[in-house]
Amino acid sequence: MVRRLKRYKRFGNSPINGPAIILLAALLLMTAAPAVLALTKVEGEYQIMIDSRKQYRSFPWDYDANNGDTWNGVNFRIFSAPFPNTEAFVKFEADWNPGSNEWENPVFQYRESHVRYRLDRDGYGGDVYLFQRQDRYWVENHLIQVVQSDKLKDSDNAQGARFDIWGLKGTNFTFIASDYSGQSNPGAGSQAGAPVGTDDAYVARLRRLFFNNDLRAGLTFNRRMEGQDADPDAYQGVMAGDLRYTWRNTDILLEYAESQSKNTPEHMYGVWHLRRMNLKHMENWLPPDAVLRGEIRSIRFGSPALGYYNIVPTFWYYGPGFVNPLGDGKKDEQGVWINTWYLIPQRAVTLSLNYTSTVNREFDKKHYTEFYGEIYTEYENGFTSKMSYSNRKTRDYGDPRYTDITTNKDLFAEIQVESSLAWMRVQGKIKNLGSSRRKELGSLETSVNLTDKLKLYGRYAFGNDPARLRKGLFTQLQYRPRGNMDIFLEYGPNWIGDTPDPVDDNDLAGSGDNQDLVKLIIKGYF
Amino acid sequence: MRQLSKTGLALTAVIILGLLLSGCTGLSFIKKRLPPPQITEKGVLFQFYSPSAQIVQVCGNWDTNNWCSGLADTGGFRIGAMEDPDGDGLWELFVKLPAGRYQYKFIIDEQNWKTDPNNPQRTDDGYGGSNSVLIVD
Repeated sequence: MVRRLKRYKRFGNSPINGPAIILLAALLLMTAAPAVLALTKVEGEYQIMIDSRKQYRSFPWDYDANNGDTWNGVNFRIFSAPFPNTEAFVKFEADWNPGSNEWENPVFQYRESHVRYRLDRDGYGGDVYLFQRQDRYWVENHLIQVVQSDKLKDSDNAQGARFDIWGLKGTNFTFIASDYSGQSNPGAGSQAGAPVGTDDAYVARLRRLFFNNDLRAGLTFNRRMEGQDADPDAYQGVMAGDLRYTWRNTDILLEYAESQSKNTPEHMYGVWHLRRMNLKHMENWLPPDAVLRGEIRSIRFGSPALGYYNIVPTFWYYGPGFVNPLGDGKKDEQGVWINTWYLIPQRAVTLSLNYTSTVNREFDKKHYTEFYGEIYTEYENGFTSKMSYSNRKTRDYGDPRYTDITTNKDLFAEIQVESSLAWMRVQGKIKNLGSSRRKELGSLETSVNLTDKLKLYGRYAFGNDPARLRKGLFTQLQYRPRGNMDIFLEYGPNWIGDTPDPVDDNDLAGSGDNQDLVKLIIKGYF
Repeated sequence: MRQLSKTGLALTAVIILGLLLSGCTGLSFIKKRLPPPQITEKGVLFQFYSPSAQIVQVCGNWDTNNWCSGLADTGGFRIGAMEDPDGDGLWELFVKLPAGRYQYKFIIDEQNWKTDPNNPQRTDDGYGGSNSVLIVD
């Protein structure tokens, strides 16, 4: 796995604005205090990649700089604490990747910054961030993903302010105000040189614990002001509430959310019809713009001697008109998931049995069910084994004249062995068992510690389709001369089988095949 | 196929019954279980056993880790690096986490992503596999 330096969007010739103010504030803070008092760190990281490949048998090896896979970059991070409880941070970066920038010679550019003030006294405190082009959007989610950072960070171009307060009688409060700065295009405004209006986002979260922490109650609010240039009043958002009650080591969770919008066409308003209450058809009594989720974690049967069988039932309803531009984007789905597991006392044997059922009534018109069973064991001599079976059934009601039913039965087995010298894992999977779409997928992975700094990793994966046998051979020599530096020399396509279970990889199950490719990667940080 | 399902279920039932009847005393060839992540005063303790690993990282969706891409001020490509000072193959890391429901995996030698074998609480990872679930409340 090679971590790429973050991509970023180049800024136009903007006048003094939010980003510039935060950057200036960060730089001023760093220089404001006498150097002797300030704690200042300069850190950074770099990455160099060279790749040579042979596309087809008839072509020669070629140092292909335009394949989009190579990524070279370096960044500097300056971190300073000029006063007690205060910190300032600025990052500069130069990078090069074909297709993502046009620099023949990469230049250093401003990447991100923040200033922060934090106070924590005996469990009471607050934290304030002014940030620019950073992901500071994490808020507490449990069952309903009301806020997801990816929807707010505007491809790492957003800026904003974040306030956190905690400790007041078990109460925590978070408020975030943010702007989608990356939408700004100085050349596209209504007046020459004026930037277009950008969207804004607001997030608030309040939680409190009651009755010796047995009850937790929370409220989450989000709102995105949409297309403010065209309609300053338009917005979409969500108001959500969550409860968790603990009774004898069992948590009972219930969460509800409702969309809110103004001047947005896709919102479907609705009302409650409690007289029609039916758990199988929640669409009959819940509003179409609502979400309801519940969970019990966990119901236990057994004793310390025999071990416990744990059952976690979860249900959910996402209305067809629920719109959450700052969350997980789910809509029109009802379902139940029953997750169960049994742990042999003291010993590493785990049996899991899961059942899932989801229905999409309004748009997709599909009903999906899955049964999954797994047994996992760890042995004293370094071996582990895993076997699993899954049976998925998809009923498609899209055509009112008939129901199309697709069944997927998969059988999976894994054996792994490890010592201080080496590791080996063999996996096999029969996909779509008992059907004409059957595939056999297999993988063999090994890694050997040649020295304490040098390691050889290899992965051979194959997919036996009805039509042909496909394969992927990936080998990597890993050299770590110091704790802060990696040198990798690779052969083969690393994307075939690069999932936690190689036989589950879509490239392997799809049409991925071996390629002649050699890559050298040098990366480090300081 | 129906035959296979029945055979598989019967085999599973026999194994479980055997384990139960043995009272787990005859299972000395099976390793003792490591605990799932525990909440301690120093933070959440993550543990992973891998004697051949040169680097083990815990990667999750809390803000300072962000699936090992981290925040700017926690940068570097060794985010979530666990420690094994005595070289016994048991890697450990304490992480201070605010309340929330998190998903995580371990990365071994920057190459292999693995769910926590000692934590049976899982959720779909959206890529055909699963993530381990940790609840801090």
